[in-house]
Amino acid sequence: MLFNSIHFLIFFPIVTAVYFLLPHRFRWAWLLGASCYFYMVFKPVYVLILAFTILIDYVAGIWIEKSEGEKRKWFLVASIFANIGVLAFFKYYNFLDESLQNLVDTLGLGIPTPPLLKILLPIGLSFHTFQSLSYTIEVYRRKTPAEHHLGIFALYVMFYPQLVAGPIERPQNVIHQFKERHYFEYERVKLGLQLMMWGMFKKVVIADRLASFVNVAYNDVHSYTGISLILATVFFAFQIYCDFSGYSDIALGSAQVMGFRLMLNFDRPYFAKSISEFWKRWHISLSTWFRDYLYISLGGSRVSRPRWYFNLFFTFLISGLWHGANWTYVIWGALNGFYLIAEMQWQGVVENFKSRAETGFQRFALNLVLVLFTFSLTCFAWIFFRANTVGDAFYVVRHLFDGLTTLPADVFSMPFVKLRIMLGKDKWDFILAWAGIAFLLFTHYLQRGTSGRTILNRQKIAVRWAFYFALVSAILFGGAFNESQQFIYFQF
Amino acid sequence: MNHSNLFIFNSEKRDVVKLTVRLAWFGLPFLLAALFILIIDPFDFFEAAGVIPDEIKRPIAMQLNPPLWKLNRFEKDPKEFILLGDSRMAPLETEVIKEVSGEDYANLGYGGASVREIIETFWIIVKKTPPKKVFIGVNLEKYNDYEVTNRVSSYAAIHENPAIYFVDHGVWEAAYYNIRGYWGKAKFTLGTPNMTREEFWQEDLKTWGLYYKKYAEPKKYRQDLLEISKYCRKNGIELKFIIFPAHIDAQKLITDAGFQTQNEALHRDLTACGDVYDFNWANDLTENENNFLDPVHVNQETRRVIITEVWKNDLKYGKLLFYAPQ
Repeated sequence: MLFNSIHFLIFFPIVTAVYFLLPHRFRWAWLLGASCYFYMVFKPVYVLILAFTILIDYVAGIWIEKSEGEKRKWFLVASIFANIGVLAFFKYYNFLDESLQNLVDTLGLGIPTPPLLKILLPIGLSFHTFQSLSYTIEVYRRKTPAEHHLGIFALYVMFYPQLVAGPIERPQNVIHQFKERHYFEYERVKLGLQLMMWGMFKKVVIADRLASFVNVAYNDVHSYTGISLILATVFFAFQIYCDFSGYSDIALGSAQVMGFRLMLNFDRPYFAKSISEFWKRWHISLSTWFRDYLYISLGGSRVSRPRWYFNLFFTFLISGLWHGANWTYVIWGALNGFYLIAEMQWQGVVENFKSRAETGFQRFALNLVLVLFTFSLTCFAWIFFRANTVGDAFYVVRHLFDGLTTLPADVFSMPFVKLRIMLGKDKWDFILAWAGIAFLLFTHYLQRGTSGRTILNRQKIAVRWAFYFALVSAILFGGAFNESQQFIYFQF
Repeated sequence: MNHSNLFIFNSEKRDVVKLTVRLAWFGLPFLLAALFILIIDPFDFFEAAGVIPDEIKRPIAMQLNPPLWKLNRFEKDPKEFILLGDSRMAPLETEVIKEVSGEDYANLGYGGASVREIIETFWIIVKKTPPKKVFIGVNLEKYNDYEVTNRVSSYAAIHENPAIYFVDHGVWEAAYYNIRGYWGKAKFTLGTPNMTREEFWQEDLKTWGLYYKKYAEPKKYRQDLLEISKYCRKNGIELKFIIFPAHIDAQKLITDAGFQTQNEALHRDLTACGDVYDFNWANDLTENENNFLDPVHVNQETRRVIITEVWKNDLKYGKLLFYAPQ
């Protein structure tokens, strides 16, 4: 079920109302049933895959807790193997098979490769696999006890707000919340609804509008060069942010309405002044997952410098692969790993500049340069993330700066503006796209020291209600409902 | 906390009431807005209330979003004979065609239609009911990847999710003009230009000339039309094209712009998809200004001539170019 659907508009109030009306002891079952339904709306049969991983990890968790020594490790390995096995089969089998076929063809070996399978990737598989894995790893590390209530454990994996696109939670943060009784509190419910409304705004007003521009260019890259590709890439940077953080906001908000606290997934990432800071602000639940379970397991930074670099690079490479079974994602991950390693080299220079900046203006200018530089690097990496093929991505890279020297003259030609800058779209769509980005950046700027909701709730009721009306009206009348409605991260 | 019935506490109950009341107040304007659209129903989508008469609704709908009006009608009364095209196809009288050929057509030509809209309309109608015969009107100006207007997508979105009807800009704009037309009795008409016919003619020629300055090779449209052709052949649908006549002054714009090659490509591309009736060449009909309303739109008498030539196969001003797959 999509958050931005009529279906969810009916589902959410019913689930929430019944949740609060039920006695506490039945609530977990109601939420589990609702979550199953939420997932089965996409494709019912794939709930069986979820049931499989839930059962494996439920049993593994209990056995890991009960055992000692080598046995514990083997139960963990079995759990990891089962989870990654499911993920590998559904997500990576065809990718690996195709890559093998290409290699065989390139080398002219003439060896037959296994046939491709007609399998559809279960929605959100990477998310719930990682969430389930974090449970067995945390039990193994003795940071959380094994959950003996199968229903509660199933709910931990399947809790509908974060089932298909995160945040990827940790058991110690969530499981105990399913056992606590949550009361209907007006203030909390209001905060949850505010967050849902903001998430919906980001998704349907900003992300879906930008998607229509991005798709025009990236689904036919060879017809575009220079400014068109630059604009499409910048638009994609904001599209993916608004799409994914919008989803996270709706997830956090809908959980909050029922009294659950999920972890923050985004913290104004495009205001980051370095790549390492960007990764502390972008998809935080996944970044910390890789940090806690892969990077640190590899030795983290407490190793020799070359090994440290390798750990960083490898973690990002795997992070890229996690996103999708395509070499474009692998390159995107590798590029981010490379950025981080390179950043360590120029960190001294940046610090030097920072220490020399004495006036407020100098500090502001330096920060602005750093933010823009980080954003540019991120955008460059997004090219690989968005491109349909590696060939397309390299085409974009090669033609990114084409025609920029003649741009000042070209902007006076209407066909150029319409086809190359507005990408053939309506001028109002173009203006609204930029207005959406400007509004987003403005609200993010306001949130420097405190959250947007805190600022909003400090205002008088008339101001708050005016804001709500404006936001809901913008969603209803300014939403790009004719465009793509699927969330980008659902495919992962 | 005191327990009330239904397992919630009294303090919770107070909060539930507070939230429900506030949400109701908050939602009321939106509910009223939806009710307003439901009552006016400017495109007769729901046919729920007949408050605004058809003679007010129709011209407004046809001006603001003809695909939404026409496809909605088609949805309720589908036909097997279809006309697709722009403002040159739209005024062809289906009753006259029926008289001449006995075939009952749905005219899904829209003023200002792009080839994109024609293509999307085709795929919508074949989903609804498999047609027997389809005529598509295409001229060079619109056979141009630069022309990407797409109002059909709004119909598709509304058809898929009727809730979008309540928030569509075009629907609200039409509702506004409906109200003005109904209560203010203000007629919704295109302004009559304050100039002589000759001045208007020259002005219009300049406008049409702009199409050749905003031209992009129709790679996508070529592929899309071939796909339609393939589908028609596979499903036994007769596919024909009409290149409508433009006055010789408008034809000259093509040579002035150096677009002869593109014009030849249009003929080649269309014949690769089906038979083509070409009226756009220098002859008695296109040299006489009196046959036209403006440089590219023929008058009623000329429309009848075209209908007779195409549907009676009695060609005088039209050339029949036969299907020539490439």
